[in-house]
Amino acid sequence: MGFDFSLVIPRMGLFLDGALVTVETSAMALLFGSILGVVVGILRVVPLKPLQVLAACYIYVIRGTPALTQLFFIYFGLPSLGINLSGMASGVLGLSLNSAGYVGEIVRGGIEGVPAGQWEASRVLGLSYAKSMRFVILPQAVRSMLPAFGNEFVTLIKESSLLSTLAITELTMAGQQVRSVTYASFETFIVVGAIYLALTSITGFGLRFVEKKWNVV
Amino acid sequence: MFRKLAFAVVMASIAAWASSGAALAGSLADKDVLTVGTEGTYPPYEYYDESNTLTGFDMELIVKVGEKLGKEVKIVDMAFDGLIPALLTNKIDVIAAALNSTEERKQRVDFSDVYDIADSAIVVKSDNDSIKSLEDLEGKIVGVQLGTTEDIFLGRQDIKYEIKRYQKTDDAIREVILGRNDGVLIGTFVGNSYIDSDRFKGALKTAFRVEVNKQDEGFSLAIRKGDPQFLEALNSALRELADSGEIQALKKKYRMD
Repeated sequence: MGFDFSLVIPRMGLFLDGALVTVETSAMALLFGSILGVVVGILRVVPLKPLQVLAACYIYVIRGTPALTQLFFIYFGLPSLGINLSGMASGVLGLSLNSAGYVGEIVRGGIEGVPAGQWEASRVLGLSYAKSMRFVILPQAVRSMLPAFGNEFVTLIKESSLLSTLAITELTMAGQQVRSVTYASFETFIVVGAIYLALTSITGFGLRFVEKKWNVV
Repeated sequence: MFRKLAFAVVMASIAAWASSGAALAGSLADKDVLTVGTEGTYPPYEYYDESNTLTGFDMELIVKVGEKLGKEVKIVDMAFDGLIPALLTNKIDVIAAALNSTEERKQRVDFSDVYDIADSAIVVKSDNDSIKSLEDLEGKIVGVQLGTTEDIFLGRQDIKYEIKRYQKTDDAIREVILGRNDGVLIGTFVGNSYIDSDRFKGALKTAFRVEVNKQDEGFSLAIRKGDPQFLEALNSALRELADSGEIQALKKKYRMD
């Protein structure tokens, strides 16, 4: 069983094009997922029962079902309701909604981790609930959330491989294409895996840098 | 020192384990059960009927071949682009999946004699009159099944269209109906099956036909290289089925004539 990378290496351009799509989709999903996730996380702690329940239900469904099922539902299922999104739109939407469920829990954890004394102090100083949240609690919560947040980006890079099932030529699909003409499975997935590892490593280093700058312990 | 030694032992065992797969496989002629790989969204060659049973021309053919050879046939449904890798790694013994015996594939697997040949077609929405030739696909989105000869053909053309690749042909077809893709390049009889199916009746049509494969690169059964004994048995079974008119009867049944 010999290995022959000479079939795979000349197709490096395909892999790199795919990797670019992987980075783009994960970055977009991180952006939208974070915005929605912060909203979900805050709703989870606001002292209004219906909103708390709503956010809890969202997290419950998102975390209780596979991301692949969610993507299939958006891409193949929603057209039955007249919502017909392209593969790319479905993919980014699906990953964002999925990520928001997890970010929501990170944000809730971060907010609840801020000592109660901070709340009491800001209320005593006459700040409204919204203002306390905005100026006192969230800035402190964000710092402690950062490491978990970074993990979420790494997770997204890996989960974006699911988009290959929506006919999006990201890194995994690029690998499948190369494999379908070279039949060199071992070599192809070694290269694909190495590129993913490079992407997640770079992300990891970047995050550690930011954490240091922000003095997160 | 100990670490280096441990590392060497681990690597050596991995190498031994990796190479044992190839050594294990003797001639298929000695096996009682043939594991046959296919991809089950390719009517009329292989598809699931109303009772969710895998059927079709290839499926009936391989069962008949199994009977001739006195072997039980066990069918496994997998992704089309994974078929040859699965064969090479001994996960399946035979591929019966309307697989064209192309030069590229011949370098990896052995093919039986050709049992059928068909051209391909661009299938579009029935109200689409703007696509009549490959050139008309410029700037359009064309779907195709991943790893098929149609996929390779599309990639070789000098026309600027976007190619969307799917694991399953029914997804590629559905994209055309939903209007997300303009057309799909698919085997002619496969396209006809979808066009005539109750589910998609009236929604699709053939825009034009394309000669994707060479005449001598028709559909064949594939096995691992280096098993001339079994290849000969396979070919003689196919010849007998052709001489008895059974293959022709199957083609008629599945409207492939």
